Amino acid sequence: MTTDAEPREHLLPVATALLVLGAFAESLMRLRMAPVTTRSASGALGLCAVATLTAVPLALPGPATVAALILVMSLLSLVAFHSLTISGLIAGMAAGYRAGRHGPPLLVLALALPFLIAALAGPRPGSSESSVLTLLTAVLVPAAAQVGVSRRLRAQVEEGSARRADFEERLLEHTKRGERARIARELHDIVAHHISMVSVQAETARLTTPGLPEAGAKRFQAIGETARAALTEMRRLLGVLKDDQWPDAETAPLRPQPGLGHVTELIDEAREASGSATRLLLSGRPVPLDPGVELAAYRIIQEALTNARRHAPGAAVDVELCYDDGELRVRIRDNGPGLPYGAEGPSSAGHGLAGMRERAAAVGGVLAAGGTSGGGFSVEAALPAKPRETV
Amino acid sequence: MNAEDAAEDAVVRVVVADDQQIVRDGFAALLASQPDLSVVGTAGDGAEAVRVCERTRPDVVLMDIRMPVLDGIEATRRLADGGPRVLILTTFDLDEYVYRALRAGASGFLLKDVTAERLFDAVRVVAAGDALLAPAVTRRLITQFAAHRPAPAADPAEAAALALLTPREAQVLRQVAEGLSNQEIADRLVVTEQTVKTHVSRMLAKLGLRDRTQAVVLAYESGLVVPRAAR
Repeated sequence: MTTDAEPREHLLPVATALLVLGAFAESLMRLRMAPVTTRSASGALGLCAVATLTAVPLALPGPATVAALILVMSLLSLVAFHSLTISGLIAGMAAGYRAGRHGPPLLVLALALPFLIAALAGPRPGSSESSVLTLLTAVLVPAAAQVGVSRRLRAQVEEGSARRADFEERLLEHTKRGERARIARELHDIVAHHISMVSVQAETARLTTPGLPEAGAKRFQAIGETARAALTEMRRLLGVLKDDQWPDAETAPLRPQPGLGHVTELIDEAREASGSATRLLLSGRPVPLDPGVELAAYRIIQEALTNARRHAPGAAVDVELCYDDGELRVRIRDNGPGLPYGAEGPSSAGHGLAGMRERAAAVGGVLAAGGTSGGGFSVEAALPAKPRETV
Repeated sequence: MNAEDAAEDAVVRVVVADDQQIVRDGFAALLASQPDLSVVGTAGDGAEAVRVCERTRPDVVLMDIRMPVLDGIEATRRLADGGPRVLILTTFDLDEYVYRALRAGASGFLLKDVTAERLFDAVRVVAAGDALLAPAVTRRLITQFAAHRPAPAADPAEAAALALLTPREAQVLRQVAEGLSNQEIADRLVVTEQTVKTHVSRMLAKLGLRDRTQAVVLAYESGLVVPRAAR
């Protein structure tokens, strides 16, 4: 049952009652107008009963049953008493519409056929009003069914597009959340490596420092224990962030988290994959940065190169890394078809850009993407970059 | 627990492979502080680890998993044939890492934030080869993963080797797979520990395995031992 039919559902008994009353009144009028001699008492009773009963099935559930009952009753009325009522016609149209909207429309067509035949067979003697109603039934009931069918189709289309929009939105949300979890995982991963280094160094200091007083050894032991406690919590946290219930043995990373030292590999890969010119342009003095910032820059470049390959295949791509005072600027620009100058990134390419923005934001940076003045597409990020203290 | 055994065999030669210099130097310094352990080389990636091991012929390698150039699991696989025993180092106790490492031929695994004392102990146990490092964990891992494998791959060579075992040796293999120590097996079979040791070493030799850990892997993967549900 579709939702738009429901609000009207409670009107159905009321409408049915009105039609039943109408049919009853109509048949009484019809009897009064007819010469008394031509109608027997039982015939009069029958006419009233059939006319009245014609509208009753409207209150039943099941569009096919309703349509069948109403039209068969009408047919009975027509054949037995050469009489149809306006209320019966209205009930027939209502049933036809419902069958078209929710049930089998072909049934309506089949049931309307006898009326058409009756109408074409010529007017019955003495009841031109019935002939008109017969013709109207033959025409209007299928027409009502047709209206029902077109309403149904429109509703289906609307429902389909609503569902698609809903699905797209959920997919985007899901991707975003997945991307955020991935960023969080990778950043925690870096932190965990730092903490394990604290632990190793504390143990090394405790056992290998010559002449270390016992108090010092105890301090180092405490540092090691704190680091281990932190790591235990961190492992739990990463367990929570893990996306798959059952770990996929093939997806666990076997390489260290990448940094800017690995960007040349990305460029080489891109060059090989697309066969087009991909350049790395460096300015400023490259210094090692926080691993989190390097990872963010790496992932942004990786994603932007993938996007360029997908949306501007064959285009030349420039990757610029600019080490400025306290800031790392990353720019990935292609000379593909791009977007109108100044246009923001297309939302359908959405999650790639959203993911890059999340990456930049996660380390306190910003990212902008869009068409460039010379055509093509550009992604530009500014990440905070305090040179890493050498360890 | 097997410090005495290792001490009998003089010094255990160790290589440390980790891409983080701090970790590498730290572990090397720690191991060097022990009179019965000696660091004969270090490596910053998996490929270098393989080269250093081929040159220095150590008894044990401490192997990080996530390394550039060649990861620790692949390096372990390349060292599997007659190489040193591999002790995997991980920051995370990710089961999939450890299981893959064990299948690649590793003898055990350690978290990088291990205490120095447990590190020494682990190196000695693995060098001696007659005990299982963290038996409960190893067994849990292998049963878990073996249960998730599509079907025990029937390796004909493996089956042929298993057929060579005497009933007693097969029995010993099953008990090793349950994580029992030599002494525990001896108590169960009402024989001396020395007899069990003999059975174990014959069983390992027939199967072409280098230690008990690999025996556990084979026992579960071949279907000789079926993982019990809801362990």
